[in-house]
Amino acid sequence: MDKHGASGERLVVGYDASAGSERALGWAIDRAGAAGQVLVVNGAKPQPDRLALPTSRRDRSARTATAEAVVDLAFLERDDLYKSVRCDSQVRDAAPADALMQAAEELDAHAIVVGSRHQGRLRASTGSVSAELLEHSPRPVVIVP
Amino acid sequence: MTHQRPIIVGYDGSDEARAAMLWALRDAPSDQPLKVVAVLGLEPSPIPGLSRLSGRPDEADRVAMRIAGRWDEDSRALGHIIDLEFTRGRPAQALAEIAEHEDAAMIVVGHRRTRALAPLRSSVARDLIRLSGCPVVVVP
Repeated sequence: MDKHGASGERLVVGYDASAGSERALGWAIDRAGAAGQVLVVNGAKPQPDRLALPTSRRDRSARTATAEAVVDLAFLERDDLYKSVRCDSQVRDAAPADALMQAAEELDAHAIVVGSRHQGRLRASTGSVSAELLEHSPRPVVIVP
Repeated sequence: MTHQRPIIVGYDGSDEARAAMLWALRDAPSDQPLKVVAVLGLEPSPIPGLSRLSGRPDEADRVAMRIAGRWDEDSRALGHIIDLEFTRGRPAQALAEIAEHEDAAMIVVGHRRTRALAPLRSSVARDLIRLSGCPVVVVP
């Protein structure tokens, strides 16, 4: 049942194993349609606004390994869903928002999908990744609550 | 037939709003109802001339007329005749409430990207992300 035309949608999903990113991935898989494509992306560098110590090359490979381990979590317990949609993953040596925008350009994605970070209405600010995407992404951004 | 959850499109007559409308028309399943809403609000609009809407009814009427005029052009150009609905309130809050009331599948809004001072500008999209219970599609 492809709701979105024969071509399906190409969607890039920001994934960091958080509950929000799980929901974003679920939404993207559902939305992409049978002929669609979902690319799960994680950035190996912290967002610039987060406190991070200067890193050596060794740290960098550790960072990448961690990001890759995280992205693998996206594929756990989703076997049923992957039958219907092509799903790949990618780790980039960039901050998450940059990684998502780069991946979206390469894939010529229809949209970037991320989870919102808010917990109920207590949290005043949205995640820095979605805020960054809003201001800089030339492609539509979908924020899944 | 199962109930089709509608897509809510926020419209204010800006180029970004037209882009949001285009996205919804092109990418929404054809049997999914679209509800296009213009909120006559208290917050700045990206259109320079529309940015200082006070609570005065005559001014709200003028803004409504201008948005309706643009909607006529846009919907004709897009080849879709859809009613534009007006409501009053804070744009993000009003859209989120409508979406909740209608059990919407998603809300689609336009957003003007900026290079500087982004945190200082009010943004319907940003507020909406905070308030919405359904996915928000932000179209640049």
